[in-house]
Amino acid sequence: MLRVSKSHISVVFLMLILVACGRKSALEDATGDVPVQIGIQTSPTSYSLQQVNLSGISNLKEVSGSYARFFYAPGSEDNHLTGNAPQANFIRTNSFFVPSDMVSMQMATIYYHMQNLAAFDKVIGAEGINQWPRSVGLETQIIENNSTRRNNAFYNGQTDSMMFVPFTGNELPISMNAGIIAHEHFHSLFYKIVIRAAIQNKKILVNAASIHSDETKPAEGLQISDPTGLSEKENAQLFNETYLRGINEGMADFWGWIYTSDASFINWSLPEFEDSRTLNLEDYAVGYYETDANIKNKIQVLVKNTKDPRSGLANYAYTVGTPYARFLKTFTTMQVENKKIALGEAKKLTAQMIFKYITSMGAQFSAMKETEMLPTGGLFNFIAQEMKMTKTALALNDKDCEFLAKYINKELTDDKKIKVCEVEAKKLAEKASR
Amino acid sequence: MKKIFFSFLFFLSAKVFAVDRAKDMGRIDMMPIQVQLRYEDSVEQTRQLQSYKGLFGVPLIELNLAYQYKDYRFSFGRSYQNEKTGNQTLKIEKSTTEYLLGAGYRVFQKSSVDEALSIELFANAFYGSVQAEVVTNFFGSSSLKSDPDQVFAVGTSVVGRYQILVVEADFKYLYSVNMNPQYVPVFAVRIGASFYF
Repeated sequence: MLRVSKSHISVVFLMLILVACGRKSALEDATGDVPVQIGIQTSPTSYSLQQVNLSGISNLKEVSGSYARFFYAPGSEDNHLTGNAPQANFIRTNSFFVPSDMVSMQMATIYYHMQNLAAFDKVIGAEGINQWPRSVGLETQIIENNSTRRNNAFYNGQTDSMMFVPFTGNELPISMNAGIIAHEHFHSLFYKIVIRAAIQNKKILVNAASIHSDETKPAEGLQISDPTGLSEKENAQLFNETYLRGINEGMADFWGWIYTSDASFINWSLPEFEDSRTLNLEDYAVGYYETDANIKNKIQVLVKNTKDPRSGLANYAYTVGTPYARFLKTFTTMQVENKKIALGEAKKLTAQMIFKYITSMGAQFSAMKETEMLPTGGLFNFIAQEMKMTKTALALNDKDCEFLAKYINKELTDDKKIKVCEVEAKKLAEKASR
Repeated sequence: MKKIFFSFLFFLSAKVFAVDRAKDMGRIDMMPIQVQLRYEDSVEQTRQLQSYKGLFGVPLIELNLAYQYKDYRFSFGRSYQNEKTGNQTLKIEKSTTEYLLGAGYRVFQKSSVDEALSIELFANAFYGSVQAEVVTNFFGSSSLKSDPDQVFAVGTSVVGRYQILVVEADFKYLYSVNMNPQYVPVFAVRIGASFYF
């Protein structure tokens, strides 16, 4: 008869432990395409929990892979982020993983959006601009005015990373807001194509990538020399900084709309900005944008009346930027209505045009004189020219022409108004004959 | 209901305790009061001592039973943890329930002459199951349970008795493939009643 002794039991138990210890966790096993349940925007008016695939995952515990790598409350050294990767927690059900805390949900969601934005970069021909995986900082601690910055996200050009600071509101956390993630992603493209070129050519002094960035102040020794009387060069620098910051924010908001089809994507997280940042263009505001003269005037006022005009100009960014965003969104939806093309196709064609435009802006900086300023109506003229030449579905028609002319001719007197196309030429001729 | 349950428990314990304590009788320890601490990963991205929640969300109340016969001690215990993160728009609640069966061998014993007071040291091994449930509230609600995982543990416990009162201090090392980390040190103190059976 078999006698079971204490030592038999101990050996069996230890063997069980050893067998168990050799096993990899479900998270360690999950590589490549990993199905997860995350919260995403499913229509312009709704978010919900959906099962999606995260591609190219190499480590699900850190949600790192081909498209993103995360840093928790990161620091920075030279030109990269430092610190540990946050540790994600998921439970595995039969067929997919479910984030079991907020940080893990943020990581999986951001990774998913970065994966989609990488695909979109490819569609518009911008795949070589960014390096992948993208660096993302979560719970980034930034001290300003003796408190920690809250409820914000920004792109940091120096470390080439997307940063999220702690979110304390009761709305959709910024790190879950698809539109804001796309907005910040655009900044990374704009920085590499335009801002870097502008800084290298000394056309601007600050990394005017975004007003959220902690780079709104110029480096030591690059302050305005005499605020009461700006030199022509300083004036041009301030102008270019202000304009670039504005158009960067405007186009980034447009990118948020392209990605979500939601004109008020900011409202999910920061409802206090709903009115000032919505991309819906009211009829009375068609043709409105901050002209060269408006920006010059603002600079003059701030230089005269404030000690730190650059801070004031940073706050002015959305006043400059939002009209561009509204113009671009309206222009894109007009293509759908007037030319019967799908919204996705119209978005793609407009995004391709923007990419071309910002590439041309970057090139302009090498050729510009130190005292030269970028024209604020440049985008409208560029689009009109592109549409005249294009063989795509975006070819200029009468309705586009009328719409564009309202922007292009805003600053010009009647005799100098540009004939954007036939219909506009006819109108101008009629006006002249009266 | 709870009052009736504990009154019954007390009555039964006292009754059985009053019986002449035959040396060859086993003892049942019912220990509904428990403080359990685990050194494991928290939702705040730190590894820290975490206090476990109780049965039905009542702090300090948990299901723990043990049967001891001479040098051998067999136990059954439940552990429950619940963590919530998020805000009003996105709330994630993770609940983990674990059941452990234990077998222990007495390696040391000391008792008073009348055996009313005693202290014993056990070497223990455990086997059980753990399962987590995640409830996500995000413009709707989703409740999903993980696939159950096996749990193993080895450890030691000290059991002290005075009359019907029993106190157990238990230290063990848990292992489960999907725990964070995979090895978790656990310390628990349990208080309850003991009676011959």
